[in-house]
Amino acid sequence: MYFEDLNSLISMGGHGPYVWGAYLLGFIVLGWNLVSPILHRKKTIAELRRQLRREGRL
Amino acid sequence: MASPKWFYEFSGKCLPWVGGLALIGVLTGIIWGLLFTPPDYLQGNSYRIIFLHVPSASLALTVYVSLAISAGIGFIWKIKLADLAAKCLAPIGASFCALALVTGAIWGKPTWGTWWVWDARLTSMLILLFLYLGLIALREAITSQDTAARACAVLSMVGLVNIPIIKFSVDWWNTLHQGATIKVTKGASMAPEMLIPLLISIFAFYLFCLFVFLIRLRTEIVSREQRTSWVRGMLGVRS
Amino acid sequence: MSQSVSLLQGAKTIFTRDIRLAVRNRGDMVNPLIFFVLVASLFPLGVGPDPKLLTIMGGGVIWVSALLANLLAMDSLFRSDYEDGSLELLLLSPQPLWVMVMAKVVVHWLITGLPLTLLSPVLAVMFDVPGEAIPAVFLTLLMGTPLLSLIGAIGAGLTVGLRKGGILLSLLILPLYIPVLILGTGCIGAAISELPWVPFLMWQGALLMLGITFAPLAIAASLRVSISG
Repeated sequence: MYFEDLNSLISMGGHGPYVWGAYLLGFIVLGWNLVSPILHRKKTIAELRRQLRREGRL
Repeated sequence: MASPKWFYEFSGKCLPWVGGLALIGVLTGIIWGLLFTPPDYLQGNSYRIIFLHVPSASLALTVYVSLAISAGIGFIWKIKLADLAAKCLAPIGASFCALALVTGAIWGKPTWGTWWVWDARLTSMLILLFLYLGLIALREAITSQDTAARACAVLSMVGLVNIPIIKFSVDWWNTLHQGATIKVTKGASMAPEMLIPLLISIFAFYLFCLFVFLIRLRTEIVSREQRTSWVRGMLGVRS
Repeated sequence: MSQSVSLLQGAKTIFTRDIRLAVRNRGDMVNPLIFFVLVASLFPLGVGPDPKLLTIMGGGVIWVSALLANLLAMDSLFRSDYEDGSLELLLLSPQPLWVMVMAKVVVHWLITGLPLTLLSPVLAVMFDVPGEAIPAVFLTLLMGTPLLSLIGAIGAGLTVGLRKGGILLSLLILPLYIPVLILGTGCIGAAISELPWVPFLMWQGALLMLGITFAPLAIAASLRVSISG
């Protein structure tokens, strides 16, 4: 590892807030990209199931 | 071969592999870049944003081109799968375009001393984001799925023709107003200990993109093919 | 019964019809012009009347105002034809759609782009643009505004069927206007600093040729999508 201790890793020679801020935003974007299609998929499939069952009952 | 059912089953088999590899790759690239590379001798540690910024910027452009091409294929040969692919790509591309812009701005603060400079690359990226937002807005505004797909196809193809022209004119505009901007110094060659994690990161971001794209596309296929027997069978509903 | 109409006759019919409509609805023609002058005069009020500053900004302000005025007029390009059904008839006509569409775009330019261009030297004087640069202002608008009409018509075609098309149209089209804006202001800027500005006109001409070649096809496609889905 390049950094000697945790403090220097967090401060990054004064650039810490920028670097960690950027990575935080990066993880938010990656997370949104991952979570939103999964939720959408669950919702779509649940809706389809319900709809098809309704139709089956008719 | 390009039947939705075949594609659904095939992509289902690929999905865990793509996802797993993407996860390993993203973690490797980012942890390597954050913890194990030496700082840049000019920019210090702030350059570590590169492992996030460059993959997103590269994705933003690649995704737009793929979007326009698949929308064009869907428009000309009336292939449903291509239309759906174009629909799924827009939000992914837009999010990475926004990420590239924001990380670029954050990187700019310690490097240039200001959040935003009207640098040619940042400006082109901003215009690309507008193109994405226009596409998404157009799709939302049209209620009929088929009409929306065809309208977006026309718009994205016009956008594709315009991208090189926009890029060229913005680059040129930037050299014209040289005095007002700060040139991004780009090292002629990157040290291998920085280049390797960057390449890993780029590759992993592409895989990640493919992964979330496949999830979206599979959902669209199920929703589009809901009347067919294979989807009903899969959902466990007797028809 | 069927009476064949030649290509040129068809285009001419559309052309004279649209011209006549424009002349009778004088507001459609005059309002964008007033808007153009109004927007341009907001800038000195916003940033102060310093002549040096205005000279630097002048080209950009005139171009941005022209862009916005063009956009404002764009929304009505196909709207009334869509509402009274004549657009559908146009799509059904045996003549190739792109020729008909071209006639409409030419008329649109004649009633918006051309008056803007003719008025631009007055604005240039108001912005303290030096006399030698005024031909550049005029010529660059003359070369650039047809391209604005061509690009804008693609967006107008895509949004014609939508109830809230206006704001969406600007979202779709303004990013595509950027190269025209950059070349146009570059031309005026070069003329103000006494550099050769004709090459900019040539670049604009090249883009215009590209636009004339491809835009009518895209406009026709966008109308077909909007009307028949």
